[in-house]
Amino acid sequence: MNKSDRRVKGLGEVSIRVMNLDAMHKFYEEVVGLEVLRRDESFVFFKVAEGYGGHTQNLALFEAGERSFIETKSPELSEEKTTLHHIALNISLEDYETEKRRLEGLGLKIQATEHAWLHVRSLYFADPEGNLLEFVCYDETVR
Amino acid sequence: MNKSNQSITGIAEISLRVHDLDLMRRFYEEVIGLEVLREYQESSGKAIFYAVGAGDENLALFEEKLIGWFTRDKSPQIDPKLTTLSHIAFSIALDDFESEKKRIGQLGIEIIDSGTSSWMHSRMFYFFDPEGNLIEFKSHDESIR
Repeated sequence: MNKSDRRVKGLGEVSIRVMNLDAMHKFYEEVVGLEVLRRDESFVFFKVAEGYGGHTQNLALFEAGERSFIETKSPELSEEKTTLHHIALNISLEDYETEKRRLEGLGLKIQATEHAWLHVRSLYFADPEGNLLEFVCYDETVR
Repeated sequence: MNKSNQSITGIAEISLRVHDLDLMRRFYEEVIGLEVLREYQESSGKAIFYAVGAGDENLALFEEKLIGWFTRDKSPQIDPKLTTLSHIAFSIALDDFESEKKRIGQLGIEIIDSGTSSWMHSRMFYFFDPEGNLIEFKSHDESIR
C-alpha cells in the first residue's frame, strides 16, 4: 500500500481500563503530566498532543466496571494477563535526564535502556495498576 | 511542576501482547493496513513493529510468551477478558469514514457500535480484533456539536 493511500493516519487514542479511577487520574495528571480534557463519573480523557485532522491525540482511563458494548470483558483486571504490552510516550532528548531524575525522585522504579535500531533511549516504569509505560526520545547517537 | 508536563509530545507506540501472532498480523496488515517496520525474533518469541500513518507512531505485537526484562511480571498467557486495555483508536480522514465502515463490514467483521461525540467533535465506529481487543476508527468532524 502506498503511504498516501493508507487509511489510518495515526494513533488517535489509547484507552485503558482501571480499578481505581481517582488514583489513576492523579497519577496520569501529576506524575505522567497530562492535561485533563474531560472528567466524568466513570472516565477521564487526557490530551497528549495535537492529532490528525484537527483532532487531539488522547489517552483515556475507563473504570473497569464501565463496559458499554464491551460486556465480553470482565469487570476484573489482571496486570499479569493483560493484552497491553506497553504504552510509549514521546519526550524530547533535552528532557530525558530531568524526567529520569523527576520520576526517580517520586519513588518510581525506573529502567533506562537504549534501542539501537530505532536510535532512541527510553525510560520504563509501571503505573499504579501495573501497566508498563515508556518515555522515549530520539537520540541520533544511539547506534 | 506545572500540572501539564510540557515534556510529552505525543503517543509514540502502543504494544499489544498476542496469542496467535500469524492471525493477528494478518488482521493488522490486511484489515487495518499497517506497514511492517521490523520483525524481531528472540529465543522465547517474536515481535512485529508497524508504522502507523505517515508519522513516527508505531504499533507493535508481542507474542505472549515473549517475556523480556521489562515484562517479567507478566504471565506468558494473556486473558483478553481481564485485559487492562479498553481500546485503541486509529485516526482516519472524515472523507474515508463511510467507505472504511463499509469496507470493514464487508470483510465480515461486526461493527459493534458507531456514533458521535459532541464534546470531542468526532464520529467513530468500533470493532474487535481477532483476539478481542477493541478497535475504534475515528474522524474529526467539526459539524458535530
